[in-house]
Amino acid sequence: MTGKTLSFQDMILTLDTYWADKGCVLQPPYDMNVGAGTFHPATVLRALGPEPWNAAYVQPSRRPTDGRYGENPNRLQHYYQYQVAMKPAPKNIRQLYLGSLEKLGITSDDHDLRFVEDNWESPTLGAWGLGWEVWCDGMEVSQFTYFQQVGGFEVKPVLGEITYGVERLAMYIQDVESVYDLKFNNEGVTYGDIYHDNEVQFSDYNFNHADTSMLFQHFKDMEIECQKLVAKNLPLPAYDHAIQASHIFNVLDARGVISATERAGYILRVRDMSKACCEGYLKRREELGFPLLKNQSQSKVA
Amino acid sequence: MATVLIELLVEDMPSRVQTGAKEQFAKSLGAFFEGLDLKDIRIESYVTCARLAVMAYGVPERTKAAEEERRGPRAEAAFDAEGKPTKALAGFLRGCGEGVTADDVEKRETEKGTFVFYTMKKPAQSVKELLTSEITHIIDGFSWPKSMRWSDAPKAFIRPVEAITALWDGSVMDMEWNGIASGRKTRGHMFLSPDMLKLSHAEEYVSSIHNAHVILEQEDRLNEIKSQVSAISKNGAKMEKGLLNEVSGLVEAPTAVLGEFDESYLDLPNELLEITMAEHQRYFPIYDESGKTLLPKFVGVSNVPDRTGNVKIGYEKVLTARFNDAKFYWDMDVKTPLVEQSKKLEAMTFHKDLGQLSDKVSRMQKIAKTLGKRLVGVDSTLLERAIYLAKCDLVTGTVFEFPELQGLVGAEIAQRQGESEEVVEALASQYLYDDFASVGSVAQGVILADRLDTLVGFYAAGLKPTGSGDPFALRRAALSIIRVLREHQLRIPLKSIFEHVYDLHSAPKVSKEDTVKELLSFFMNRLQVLLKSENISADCVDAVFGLNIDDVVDVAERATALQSFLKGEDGAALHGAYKRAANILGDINLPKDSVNAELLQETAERDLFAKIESVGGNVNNQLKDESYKEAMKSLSELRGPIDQFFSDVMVMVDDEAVKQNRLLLLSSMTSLLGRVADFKRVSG
Repeated sequence: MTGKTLSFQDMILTLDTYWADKGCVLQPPYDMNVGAGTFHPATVLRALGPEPWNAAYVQPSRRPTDGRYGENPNRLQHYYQYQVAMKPAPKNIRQLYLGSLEKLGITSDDHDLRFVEDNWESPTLGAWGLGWEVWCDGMEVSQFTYFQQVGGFEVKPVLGEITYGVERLAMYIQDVESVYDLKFNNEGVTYGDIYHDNEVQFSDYNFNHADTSMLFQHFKDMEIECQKLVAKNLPLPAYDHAIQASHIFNVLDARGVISATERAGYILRVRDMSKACCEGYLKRREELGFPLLKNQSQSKVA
Repeated sequence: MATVLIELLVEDMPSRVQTGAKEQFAKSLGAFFEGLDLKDIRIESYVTCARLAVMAYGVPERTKAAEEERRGPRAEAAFDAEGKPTKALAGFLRGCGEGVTADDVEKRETEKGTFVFYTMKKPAQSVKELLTSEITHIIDGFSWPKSMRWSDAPKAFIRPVEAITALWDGSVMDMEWNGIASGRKTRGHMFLSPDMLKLSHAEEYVSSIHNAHVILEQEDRLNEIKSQVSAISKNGAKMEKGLLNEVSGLVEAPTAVLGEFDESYLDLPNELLEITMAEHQRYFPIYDESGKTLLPKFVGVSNVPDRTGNVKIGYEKVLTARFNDAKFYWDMDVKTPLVEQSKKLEAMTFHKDLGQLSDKVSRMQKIAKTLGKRLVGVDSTLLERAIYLAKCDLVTGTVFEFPELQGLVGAEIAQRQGESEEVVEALASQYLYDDFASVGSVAQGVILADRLDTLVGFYAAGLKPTGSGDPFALRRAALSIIRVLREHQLRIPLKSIFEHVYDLHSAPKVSKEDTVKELLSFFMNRLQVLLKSENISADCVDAVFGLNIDDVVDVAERATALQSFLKGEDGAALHGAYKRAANILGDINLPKDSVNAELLQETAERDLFAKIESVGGNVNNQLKDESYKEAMKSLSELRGPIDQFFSDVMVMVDDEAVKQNRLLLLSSMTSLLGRVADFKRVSG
């Protein structure tokens, strides 16, 4: 890599600036424990219905089973995804994406950039799409998906989703072997300074100390509350409860207390919650007259 | 004559669908020309990850003009008494096209009477126009394993279509599909030649695309990759065909890049290294001259030249990170004695109705004991050890990360921990599904115990395969049991072993009787499928199975002998005689008597009786020796006397005693034949 390399936060700023310029709303991260940027209502709920939508945001994400007590240089239970959601997906969305990589210093003529088949499916969201993993010199740096279905509903028009693995990309750009050695800013603060102990503590919590009977109870509570709220035509608060149930399930999974057979049952329950929320959301937007349709003409991306 | 080009520029298509799509494109266009009766057109189609194209050379400008004669109503029905056209004629004329009048038809006599005829003239049509409107149908006609929509376009395709180029010589065939208007612009390599190319003539296509850094022909790409990879690896690269094909569908401008990794990773099992390189990264692994020792090198194939060396560095880095992840688990797993892992099997569910993995292992031990001596030459202590260790690798981190390496990981660890060769081999081959020839006796025991437990367990739990689904791969499991038994000539009566295994399961949902019955017929079906590939017909297997024989080796050998017997003249004749005798015997209730020699009157029946007696003795001995071919040969001696019997002797005579004696004679003949097969089940 030539010249001054971007710090972790500079990368996020660069992506923010780039995508804002392409017409995206910079909607800050969702304030809940989510497994991936997709769970943010700005992607999963906005994918539903006819309204146009363009958003970009960084989303802290948690995957309790990926915790390694801060000992593995590549795996984390808490990490960042940078997420872009555009509906309808502009015809040149792949060119836009390549443009963003260029801003990060990755140019297509001296790196082997490849779109490798990767069909995405989220059982807990009742969602699927087709697309690719984007490889830069053999390393997966992003996922690129054309959403076909969410919550069991056809996504029409199609939403294009781009998810950057920010740590991975940063390690590549800064040429470091361990995520903890990443420069977070240009003043000497590293990723490890901020997050190493976080990984140690949360790995210990997720694998050893999370109170499973409490969590089983919470899961049930979330499920009941979610259904109640859907019935009251409050799909957004209901969805918050579905997100929490999903995270609780992930922690229980990391604790190793959910057998293979039970797993499928829990996934189904979370999916039922998400589906109900999606249905409620669509209904609610329809009652409101799909307000964002007014922006249709302005939403064309250059 | 014109040259035609249709190209779809598509966002990266998966490698595996490319060949089919290329063939389909040529076929659809060919069918279109054929439908217009246009011949001698050469069609070529092309596919890369980014484009699907078809070209046709020597396309006529116009279809041939043709005449088609249509027969209308009878003359007397077409015109009334005054010679005016009837309604029937008017209807016929409407069907012939606009503006056709009664003046245009002629009356003609045929064998069936006089009819009205109209000669339709089909004028020559512009092929270009017809094709232009056909293109959308051709695009719609592709069939994909899974297609998708994009943006706000209504139709689906394998991946989004960026552009459609449709040229008839130098002119655009103007059409639109899914919101995309056809034109003359396309693109070469996405990165090496990113600007759109304007084609002025269809015939420029191949050379323009080549000049724009794309190797268009699949075969050429494949060969280019092969030769680059061979050259850069000094012929050491292992190039599996599947990987080669895949890679040729991922790049338009291949550049082989040689990379290296740290030697210390060679300590990981070869299979793990290979899977990581080939399956996860699509790199070709490299071996030394012996072809056995993996070198710390690989070849990746880039879609752009590696001008700055970034690509090589990147390839190496990713691989190192992956190896590092694997090594983390591997080092831990190798250090942990396999026996220690066995405790964790108690916490791992095999299936909710069939208990934990530890339950499965203890059932396998009992099954192996029952199989006992029937496993030829097996050392029972080693077999017990192998079963004890067989499933231990399922709880290792390495198998968690690389599930496809189950068995091999256990074997590798077992070897390093000093287990005997037979045990190591058994662990490594426990998940094989064919090629059992070189598998040792301990491994045979593990495979049989494992799969018998699985099959009986799932059947007893009411989870047998259905017409549409076999989620637990029970067909494959049964077939592999049959293969092991046959390849190693293991004589195991299925019924009793099924019953034994059934008793080991604690909470069956299906009765023992039904489980065993269903499994036996399931196995026979599998055997029929297997023997079909050896040209043994299903009814021969069924006919042997009808004798209640449940030893796979025996059934197969008898069915093989039966098949070749029935193919011969004597066998076919005896089969005919059996049917004839069975017809005569019908449902008659015969007393349990034997044939009374004194009541035999005719020479033919005395001869048949004598032959049955002598052949019967031989057949018994031959069957005991399992000399099935010889037994069949003996039976064929019956043919002459039987033919003679049927030609000379009348069975249904008035004398009751003589009649019954003759029926008994026929019955002794059918039961003798019945010793080798249930002929009722033989078709034909």
